[in-house]
Amino acid sequence: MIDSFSPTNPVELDVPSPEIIASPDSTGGYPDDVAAMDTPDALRDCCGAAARDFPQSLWLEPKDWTDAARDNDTHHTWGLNYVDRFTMQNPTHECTTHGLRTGFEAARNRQRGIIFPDGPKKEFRYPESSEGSVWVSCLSIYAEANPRQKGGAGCVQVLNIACKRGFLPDKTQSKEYGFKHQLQGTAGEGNLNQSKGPWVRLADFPSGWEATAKLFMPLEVVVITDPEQAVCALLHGRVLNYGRSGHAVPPAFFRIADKSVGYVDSYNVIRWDSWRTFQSACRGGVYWIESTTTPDDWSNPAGLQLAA
Amino acid sequence: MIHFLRALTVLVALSATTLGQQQLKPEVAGAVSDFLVDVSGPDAIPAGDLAVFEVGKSTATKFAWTIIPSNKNFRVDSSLRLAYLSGSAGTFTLVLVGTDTNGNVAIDTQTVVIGGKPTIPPVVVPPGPVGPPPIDTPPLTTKVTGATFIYEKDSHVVPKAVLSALNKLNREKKILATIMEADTTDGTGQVPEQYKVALAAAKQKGLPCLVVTAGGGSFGPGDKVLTIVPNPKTEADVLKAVP
Repeated sequence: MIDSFSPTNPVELDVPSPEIIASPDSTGGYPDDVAAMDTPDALRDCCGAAARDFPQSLWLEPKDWTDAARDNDTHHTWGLNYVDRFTMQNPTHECTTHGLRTGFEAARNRQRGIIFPDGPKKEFRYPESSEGSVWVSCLSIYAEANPRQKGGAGCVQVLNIACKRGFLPDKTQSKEYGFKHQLQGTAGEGNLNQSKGPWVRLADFPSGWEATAKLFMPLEVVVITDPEQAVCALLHGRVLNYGRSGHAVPPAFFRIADKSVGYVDSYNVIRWDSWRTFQSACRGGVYWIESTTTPDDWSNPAGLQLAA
Repeated sequence: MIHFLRALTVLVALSATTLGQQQLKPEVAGAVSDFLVDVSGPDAIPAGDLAVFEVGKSTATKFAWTIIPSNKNFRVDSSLRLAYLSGSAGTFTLVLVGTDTNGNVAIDTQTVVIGGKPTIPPVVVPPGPVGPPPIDTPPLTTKVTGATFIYEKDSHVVPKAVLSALNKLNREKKILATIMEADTTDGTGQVPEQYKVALAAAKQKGLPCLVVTAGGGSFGPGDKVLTIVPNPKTEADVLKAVP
């Protein structure tokens, strides 16, 4: 049950995933040399025509945050409530693309209008996902962002690719949509709702893949550095993306009790950043996908002409 | 007299879309059958060229010109018997009103297209409804298939209660209930086919609003607009619009 009025257990704050701790390089794919390229200006520039400033309509005075959080608890309208699956990247360095896909799918699901009151659940598939939720392949972005496979990729790199040409759908979907082009979701472990497969080069993507990918693109991306604006975005049900401490994550929930922030970690679990960590990460640049391409038919998102 | 002529011109403008280039001869006391007002000039010119219009075979002795929509490059000669038009591409309707000392009044119109072939005259809002299909209210027996909340991101926030209500419509009534930002496109940069009718209706009504439709299904909300709820804020605002 999502409850923003209960504080996070302090032992759960700022805890990295065990998989990252156990990895030889202690990173989920966001090492310092990559992180250094992710400046706020670079984030804005990489989005091209999709870049947007903070919409003033979303601003909430801090005195109004409590009511907004209560409304979200009541109506299940946190960003987390538009995420219907986890992903599992271990042992790859795909974290920025897993965060990116979370923000994309949440924005798209929000447009679709179906709420998942408990957010993503490990090894569980919501029946309602088959009513228009499309799961996108993280690898379809990462393969171009880092052809070397190891070493990770920056938020700027992956966001730029998504804004330029979009995602391919994951091979695993909640429903057979008849996509002509799909790709394994990850070169890592995957899970019930994310397909896994071998590493693939961009040159080996399915022929004509661009035609499908352009149907799954961010349309508007907001880039900010102000933590209070970021809280407003969370209170309005957006899913953010930032990188810190060697890992990139998508914050999707705000606890008004202690200002801790929950993110959909790409290891099948929700984890928590402290208010201090959140503030620091936001000041380095944070983005969210405000809107995505919308299909001509939610039940046939790739169009009849692309049906297999 | 001038006010009468201007009022008559406005009346002609309101009828321009249905009357096209027909000569209009309103009944006026004392009118003679051979009284004529006639605009003579081209119906199309390239952008950047100058079009010259004259009173042609008019038997009127005094004239007044106007152009719809207004165009800063429209000029009337001091004789009032000639008018000039130039400028960038567009479709315009010239209106010439003529009168004589006997109180005869008549009007003629001429459509001119700058930069292209003649097309249907520009739409000037006539009395009566225009735009999307007629809205049936109340939707007593028509099955609702769609409910779309349409808004502008920079001006409006989608109320959380509305989001909750849309979710209920999706889950409980199996109605395609979604939100759409007014600038949203599909993968080809176009307005998604499923939302074209609802978007047009919403823009006419004013955003934000909830457009309730029929005639659709899993493929889309439908093209028959049943009702439009302006600026819904609560669950009840949404749910009561969908019987």
